[in-house]
Amino acid sequence: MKNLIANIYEFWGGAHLGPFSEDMYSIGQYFPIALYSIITALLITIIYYYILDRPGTAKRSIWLIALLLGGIFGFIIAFVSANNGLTELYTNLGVPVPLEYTSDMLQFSFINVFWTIILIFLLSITLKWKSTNSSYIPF
Amino acid sequence: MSKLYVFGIGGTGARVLKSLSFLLAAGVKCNSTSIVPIIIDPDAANGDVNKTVDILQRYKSIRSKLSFDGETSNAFFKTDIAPLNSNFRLNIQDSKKKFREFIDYQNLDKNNKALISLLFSTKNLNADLEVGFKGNPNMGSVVLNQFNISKDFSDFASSFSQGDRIFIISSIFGGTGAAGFPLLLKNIRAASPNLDNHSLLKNAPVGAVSVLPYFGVKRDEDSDIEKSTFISKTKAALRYYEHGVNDSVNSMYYLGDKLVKDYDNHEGSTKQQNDAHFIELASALAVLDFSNDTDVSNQKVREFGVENSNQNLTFNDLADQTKTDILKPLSQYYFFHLYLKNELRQNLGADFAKRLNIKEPFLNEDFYQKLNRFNDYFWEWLQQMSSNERGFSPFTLSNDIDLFNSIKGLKPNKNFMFETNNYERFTSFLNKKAKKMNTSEKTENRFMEVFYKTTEELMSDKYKQ
Repeated sequence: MKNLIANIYEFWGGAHLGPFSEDMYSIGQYFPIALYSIITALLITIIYYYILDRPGTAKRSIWLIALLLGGIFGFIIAFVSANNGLTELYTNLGVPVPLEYTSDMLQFSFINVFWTIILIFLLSITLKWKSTNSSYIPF
Repeated sequence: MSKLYVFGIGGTGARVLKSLSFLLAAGVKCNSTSIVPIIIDPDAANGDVNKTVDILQRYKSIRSKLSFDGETSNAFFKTDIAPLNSNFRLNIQDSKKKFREFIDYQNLDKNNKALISLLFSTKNLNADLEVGFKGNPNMGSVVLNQFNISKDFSDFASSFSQGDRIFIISSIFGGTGAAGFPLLLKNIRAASPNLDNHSLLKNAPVGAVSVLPYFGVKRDEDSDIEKSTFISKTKAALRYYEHGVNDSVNSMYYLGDKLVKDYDNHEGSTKQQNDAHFIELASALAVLDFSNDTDVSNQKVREFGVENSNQNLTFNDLADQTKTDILKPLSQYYFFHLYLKNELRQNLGADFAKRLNIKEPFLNEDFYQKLNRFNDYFWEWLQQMSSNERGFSPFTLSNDIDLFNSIKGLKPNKNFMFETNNYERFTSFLNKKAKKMNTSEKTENRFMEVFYKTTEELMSDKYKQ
């Protein structure tokens, strides 16, 4: 499972970020980030299709906002978790976090944004059918 | 499968048929499987009659696109309106000439001319029959006394079958209605042996509403119609009906009102377009009361009353039975109309519209266009009744967003959470109902079904006690 998640985040090697990716893998930080992102995507989808669900929100534009919100959460989850995990790792080693990790973290956070959005999209397709007002959103 | 033949005589008859169409469109209970409206009015260009014919034709056309089976919940347009001929009228022969020509005055001998001058004024003799009898039942009783040779009347007799009923609508204070009603009744009760089903006709259950004066006309020196004669004409006619009519009718309904408004004085033709009046609605309810009456074998005389005699009636001023009969269906249809008018086009992307395949082209189809025009008539009918005296204004007739506060005297329930705006709630109910619907039905059926079910649920959800 750990390998699978790492592969997904690293695009099967295509987005391997060198030492940053190695560190993230070694401290097992991919799994909680993936888990939080999945929960976030699931919550956003459920809230959109079953709790907010009303004719006024059954618009593609509102759904896109939900998607964007999911992306923002995905970014925050990835950035904060990665930063905390790596800060703890390097504090224990007694050295500062390498400066180049900041751009790696940003890059990694955008990858998580991408996967969160994909996940919300897939969950939308799966869960929309039972929604009263939004079963034709996004299409 | 029983039919109810409804004869609407004169302008009042036509206007009552108009009210009846709206009640049937709203789904007010009617036990007859079909209504056969027959308008009797020699005034070919009468504005009221022509409007009613247009409404009836639209009703028929809308109804023809819908199907009703055991699984159909929809009661909008449920009762079939089946015309006897294309224009819903019983055509009166030779009614396009002057009265003197009609009775062949020129060729009468001296004695008969003397008798005629006793019964008819010179003005009567020179009157053009094309615009009706202008409040002269003495002329009407001569001209209309030819039902038995009318092709439409014999078509009516041929189509009449066991179990069918007849209802006659007329006013008692005018010309056409006051004269036509006893004559028509006579031609039914003493049906000519030359007519098909004459024995059925003789024994047919017949109901009738005779409308007593409920409006006046403004004084006009050039007009033959004068409201000061209405009461005396009514008295004279009632005296005649007492012996010549009441005994031949199974259910007789008398309706009238003390409170009257003076309309513009038009003798007939296109200008005669009186505003809709509550009495006409009450008369239409008499038709339905007769249709729903399981036992019409005994003679009955009925009157109509309201609970509170207010200047402007609302649902709460009606008697309990009347309220039960019309509040829910009329309110449902009112909501239906408002949604179509104000919201449908903007909500073609909504769940229900997509699921039921209600798209822009559907709104341009003949069915929807006719429904739209029919609904405009419905709205106009409500507006006119509301501004008339005595008025009937059960709805605010406002186009604003506050839909559920638009039934006067009824306070809508508040929802616990997520209070959506009125139309949004409506759309949400439509979406919910559409989910459970059979999508193999025709679009027209699905469309009516979803709106009927939704408005029904809105009524029970928003106004439950």
